[in-house]
Amino acid sequence: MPLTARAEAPTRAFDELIGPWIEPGFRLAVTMLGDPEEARDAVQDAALAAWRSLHRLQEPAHARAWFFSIVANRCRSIARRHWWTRGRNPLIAETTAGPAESADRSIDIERGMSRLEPDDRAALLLRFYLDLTVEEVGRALGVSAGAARSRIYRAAGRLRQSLDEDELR
Amino acid sequence: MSFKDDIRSYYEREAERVPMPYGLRSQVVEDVARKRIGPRRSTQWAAAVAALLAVAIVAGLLAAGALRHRPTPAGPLPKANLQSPLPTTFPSGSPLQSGKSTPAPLPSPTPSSIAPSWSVVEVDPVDSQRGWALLQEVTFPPGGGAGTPTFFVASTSDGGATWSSPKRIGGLAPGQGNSGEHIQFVDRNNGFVYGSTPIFATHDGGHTWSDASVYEWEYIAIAGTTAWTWAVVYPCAKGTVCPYEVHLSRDQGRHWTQTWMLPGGFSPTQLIAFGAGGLVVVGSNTGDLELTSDGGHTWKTIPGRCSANTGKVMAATSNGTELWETCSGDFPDFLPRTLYLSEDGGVSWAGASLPAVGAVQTTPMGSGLSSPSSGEAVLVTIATPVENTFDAGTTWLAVTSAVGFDGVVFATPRYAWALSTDGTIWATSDSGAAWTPLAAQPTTG
Repeated sequence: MPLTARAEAPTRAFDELIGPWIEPGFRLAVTMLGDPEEARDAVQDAALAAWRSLHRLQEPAHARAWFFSIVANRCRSIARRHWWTRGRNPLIAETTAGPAESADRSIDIERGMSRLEPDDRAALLLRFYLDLTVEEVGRALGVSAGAARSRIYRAAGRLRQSLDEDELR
Repeated sequence: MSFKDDIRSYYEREAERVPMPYGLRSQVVEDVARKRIGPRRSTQWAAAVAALLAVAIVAGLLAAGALRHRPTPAGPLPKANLQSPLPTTFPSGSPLQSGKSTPAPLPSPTPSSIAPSWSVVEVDPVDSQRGWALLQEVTFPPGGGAGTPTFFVASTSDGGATWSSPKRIGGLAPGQGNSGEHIQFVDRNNGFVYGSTPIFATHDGGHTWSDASVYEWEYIAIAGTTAWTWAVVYPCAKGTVCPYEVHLSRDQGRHWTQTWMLPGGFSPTQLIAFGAGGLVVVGSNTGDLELTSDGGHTWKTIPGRCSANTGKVMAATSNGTELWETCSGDFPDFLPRTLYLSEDGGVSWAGASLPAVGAVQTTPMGSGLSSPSSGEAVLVTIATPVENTFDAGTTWLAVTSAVGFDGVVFATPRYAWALSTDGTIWATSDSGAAWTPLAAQPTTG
């Protein structure tokens, strides 16, 4: 079906194209904003923006990364309104009981993640949890594939540095 | 469990803690179909109530006389309109914030029942007597929880026999975790601390530091000398795609001029300054190089030797003609696996030997390559001792008993520092033939 027709198609067509990415988009928004309520708003706003700009989606196969880029931009707008919480992830969880070593490492990961900027957490989520390719991560974050790879590398490096510091405590 | 598994497990736990709202997909699609606009009613009401409360509080304070005019504290530059085209040179009305006094110190972090931990982020020797260390102190709240990093600098002026007390950089607030990644001095008086934004500069040997940010640009790397100070920047807001740029300063970073726009898709990772007005910009992926020998007037693109999936590229040069380039394995391997050498400025390349560096390491880590003089190079990785070659890579020799280093920096062709993974600074004064730890370390005095 031509993209133009899809843009004017009923809700079902939109659901087929963007629907599968709404829940992963919520995960992305949670990671960037740290607030489930704001994440839900961000995804809702992003879906509406996607509906209105569907004609700009050149290749349906890129719908996932395209929608994630809209979600990420929406999250940044929301985060700018809440500058006083910048850089802090309020979702600091208590690790569930488990083997002592894995519990310690989980705590270290939690602490390390909380120190990362939202875009860095997003890069790691997109690559290692949502399994996007580096090229798709770049599209989602609005940068080139090379820049996305550098961002993933730096984010993981910062996390690793945090882990090493925790291990030295 | 691998590092990637750790990250994945983190997000799985987050998904358990913050489950998907039931029926989110269908609700969102239904809302779109009804063309609802704006946030949900509940957050709209919350925002309205908060605004009314804020107005009431301000009115009460004004009535009580609690709010009076205060001098505006020094702070970041006003942000430019990022939608307008970037000028080639900065307008005369917007120089970097040199000469501004350091803002008043921020309140100390809340006292913690857990002792703060120090770590060395990066080091930079200026010469055989003077050098700098960028330190990170993480303080944790009582009862556990996320730590907050604060960044300090420390210096030595006697070759590492003693160190200054760590000095907190004014204005670099706790939690600005991206700001303290790199430290770079171009001479004894002029240096920078940067990471993402902001960037801080000193022009008096570290006595005072000020925010030298321009707009919201991200500084990727800075290198050079008193007369030729280079920076590669990402000059756009996050989420905006634009090419990286090379900027040059002839006054130690007080004013910058754009000299080169890097090719689209070129992602710079490293700068190597050489001679007078020479610079190599190293890109990721295939390791393409951009080189100038005339202060940025003309540039040459040198195709890299690495595959498109290379995890990490490192390059080195002492004169812009003899070029060294290492390629790691495919991403996410980051250790150097192959070495190439060019004797003609990148026109032709030949393979050279490289010390074995061990199994694939999928966690990003430090490593470094530096060439102090023609035919010589020093290689460090997290998995090996310091290795050096004096015959253009024909033979390599391990020269430290210690294993595991994050980087190596030469201040002169003979004097360098290498930072081990345990935060110890090692020094050489014979181009890398022998190394010893500094008599004192920045974290212990």
